[in-house]
Amino acid sequence: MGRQRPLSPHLQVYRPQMTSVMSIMHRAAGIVLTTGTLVMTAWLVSLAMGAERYGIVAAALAHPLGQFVLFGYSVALIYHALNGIRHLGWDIGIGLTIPEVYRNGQLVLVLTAVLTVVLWTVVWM
Amino acid sequence: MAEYPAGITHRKRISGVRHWRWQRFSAVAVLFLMSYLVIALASIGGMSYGEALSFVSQPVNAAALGALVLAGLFHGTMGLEVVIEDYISARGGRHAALLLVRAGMSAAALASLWAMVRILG
Repeated sequence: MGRQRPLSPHLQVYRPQMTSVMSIMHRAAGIVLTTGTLVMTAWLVSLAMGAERYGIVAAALAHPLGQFVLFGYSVALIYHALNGIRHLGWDIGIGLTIPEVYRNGQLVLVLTAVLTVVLWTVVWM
Repeated sequence: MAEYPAGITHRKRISGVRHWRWQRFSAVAVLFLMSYLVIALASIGGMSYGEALSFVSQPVNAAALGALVLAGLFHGTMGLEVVIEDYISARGGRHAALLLVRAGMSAAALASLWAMVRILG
């Protein structure tokens, strides 16, 4: 590999900013969510294999620990989706000035909390 | 033709642009499909075996689920590829990690499709 190629920024010498932390969270959430798609695959495959196998997966997801994991996935999903919309905006040149970036970042954080509460209220109603 | 930095061939650059575009296309697809399914599933809550079967068998849900599994695994694979390319610089490790991710995600896609065909069949 070419030694003269640029490297990713050295995170350890950077003071954390809201922008960089949100960017790292977007990646982390994305990595978490790829494992979530595997859970969805397991759910589908168990459903195809009959009532007994489905019961095992459904019971695991209904268990408090399973619900906790699902709650974590829901936070990651809502954050990644909202921040992804923010990224798509940037890609077409919307919301790119520094004050806007901070404002739409705060909006994403607030909306993530609100939508997570709304989602689980609907689930438990 | 533009000048590229050392190590970046024209072919590599074209494939990078294509990767970037497909990451965005798949993001939009996943955004819509996921919104639909999360809202549909949340309003039902925990499903018994029979309820789950009839949910997945409904044509609109089946189409959305099938598309979501494919678009989602594709989007996730592309995301992991970027992460691997950013953080693993050793050539062998990078290629091994990419191969592992692509193989694993392809296996998951095949398993999901098999499940959908079996449920609908």
